[in-house]
Amino acid sequence: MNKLSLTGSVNRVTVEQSFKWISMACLTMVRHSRAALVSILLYGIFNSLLSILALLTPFGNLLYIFFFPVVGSIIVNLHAAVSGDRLEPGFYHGFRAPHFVRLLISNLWLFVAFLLVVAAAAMYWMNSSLSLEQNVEVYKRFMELMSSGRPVQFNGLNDLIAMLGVNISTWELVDLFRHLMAFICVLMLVFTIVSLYFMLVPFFVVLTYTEVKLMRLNMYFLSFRALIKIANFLPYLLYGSVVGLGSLMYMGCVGMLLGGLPLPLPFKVVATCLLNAPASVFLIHSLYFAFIDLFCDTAYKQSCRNESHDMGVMKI
Amino acid sequence: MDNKIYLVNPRGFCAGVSRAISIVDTALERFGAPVYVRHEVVHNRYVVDSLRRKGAVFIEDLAEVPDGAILIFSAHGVPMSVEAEAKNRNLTVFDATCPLVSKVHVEVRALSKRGAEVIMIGHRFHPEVEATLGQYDNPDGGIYLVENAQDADRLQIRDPNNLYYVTQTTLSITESKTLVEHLRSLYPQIRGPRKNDICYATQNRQDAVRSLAHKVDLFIVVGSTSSSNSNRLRELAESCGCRAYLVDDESQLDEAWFAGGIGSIGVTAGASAPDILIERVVERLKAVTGYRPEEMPGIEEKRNFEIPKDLQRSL
Repeated sequence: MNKLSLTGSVNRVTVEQSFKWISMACLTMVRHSRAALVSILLYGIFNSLLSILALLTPFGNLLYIFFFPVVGSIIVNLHAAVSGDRLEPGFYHGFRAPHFVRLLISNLWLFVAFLLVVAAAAMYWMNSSLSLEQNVEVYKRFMELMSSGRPVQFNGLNDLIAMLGVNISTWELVDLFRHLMAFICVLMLVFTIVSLYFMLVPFFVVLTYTEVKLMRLNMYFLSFRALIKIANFLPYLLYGSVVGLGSLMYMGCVGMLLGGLPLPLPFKVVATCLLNAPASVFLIHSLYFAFIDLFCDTAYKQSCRNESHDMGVMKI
Repeated sequence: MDNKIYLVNPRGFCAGVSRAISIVDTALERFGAPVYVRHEVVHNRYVVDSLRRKGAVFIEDLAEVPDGAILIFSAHGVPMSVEAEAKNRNLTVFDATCPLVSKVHVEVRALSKRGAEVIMIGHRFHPEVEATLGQYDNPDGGIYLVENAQDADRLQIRDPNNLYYVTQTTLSITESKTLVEHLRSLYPQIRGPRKNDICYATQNRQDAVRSLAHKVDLFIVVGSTSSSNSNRLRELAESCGCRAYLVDDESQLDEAWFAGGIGSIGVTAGASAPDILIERVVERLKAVTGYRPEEMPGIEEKRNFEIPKDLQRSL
């Protein structure tokens, strides 16, 4: 059982102290800049590959949104493993294991969490008035219809049903779309929540430690620490989600612009890579380095040092 | 039992035909005459004549269409080459192809893209068949028209493992089934569409005729001789042991057919025959035979295809 102690002197964390953390974070960021640039480059290449995929496949954008966050995070972490950088925030501080094991666990968390969200939403998606088989059949035929290469014009739902060659009513088709929309909305909602959380994490960290130092309430600290632990795993998901969403929107704009131009496909692919790769990822990736990894981690480490110095016996 | 004139249900216009006629009507209303229609928009003399009187010009070759004119593709669809030609000439095109025919076109286009060989079961020279054949453009594969078992026997397929079949939408269900079985015996790996290509209207009308055939001695099918589905209805009634006649309108009814104490009469109509012709035929039958008409129960068809959005907006 964990031992808690309320002994120790009150240590006031001033505004200056907070600024000190921030400046430390900036310094660390500069130290890591070379690794960051390499990582950005890798990410840019990956982004370009996905852009090409999105251009060449009828549902590329769908693949984009689903796989970008997961694969993107794995690439960043792989790069971290190779370069020796430790990108994971404080969650693994007390966890002694080879780096690749931590890396694996980090990505498993991410992967499982992402799959759970998608699976839950997908279950709802498929829970329309049609059976699962009918649902799958409709989507399969829709994909076939779209990829047949024949320009098709739908003047109404009945047209679509006829061309799909399925025995469903218009109401059932509407219900199916309703569930598809709900599925997309669930995903968007999740992405939005995690994106907001992503933005708030640094403030959480600062606020938490400030309050703890001021109030000396260890139980309070415990709960916040637990929150930080969760927060330390979530950024991966959040980061991926933000990048995924942002890139999707960006990709959508680029795709619409380029897709409409009467240009040969290779040109479009190259143009998309050039437009998409550096711009969309750079800023978000830098933000990730600055705010989540370096800032939180540095602040956390600094805080731990202060704790061990000032509070002495506090161990959890 | 009293002899009657049984009116088969469903009968007459299908959703695709109604839509095609509405497209021509609306285009005439919106743009004024002339509106050019490639091939008879539907295979019914009465419908075509009445549209012609309103200003529709039915053509077979796009060369007959002046630049800048309005062109409508008939319900049977057109080959890709015609679509391309119309596009190259910058004609304003409204496509009245029945979505159920478009479904088959999409299937063939997908198979063409894959380079698979395709057997098209249908009637030679029928515009729908020509349009469907014209969707295939892959020289690595091939599309072959099969009308009967003899055609199938003569086929030389390059890769039976990559072989598919599609059918005309207005075939006889029984005959096409027999032909598909024959193809399966020749090429066990042959694959067909997930859902039968024969359209709901053809199927419903044939089912209705089959279910009534045992009650009547004679069937009158209202429809034009050029109408594939109307011909199939007549053939089906005959195969069920009834005498059957295909008539365009009441003027083609021959009183000799009803001489000598005929039993009950069945009346049905092909998918391109308008109600007004059926009504006239029934009136004439009542006058000739003195029988009372009776509506038969049947499947209620609720399907409705919208006209293109561009035309809808102009209304």
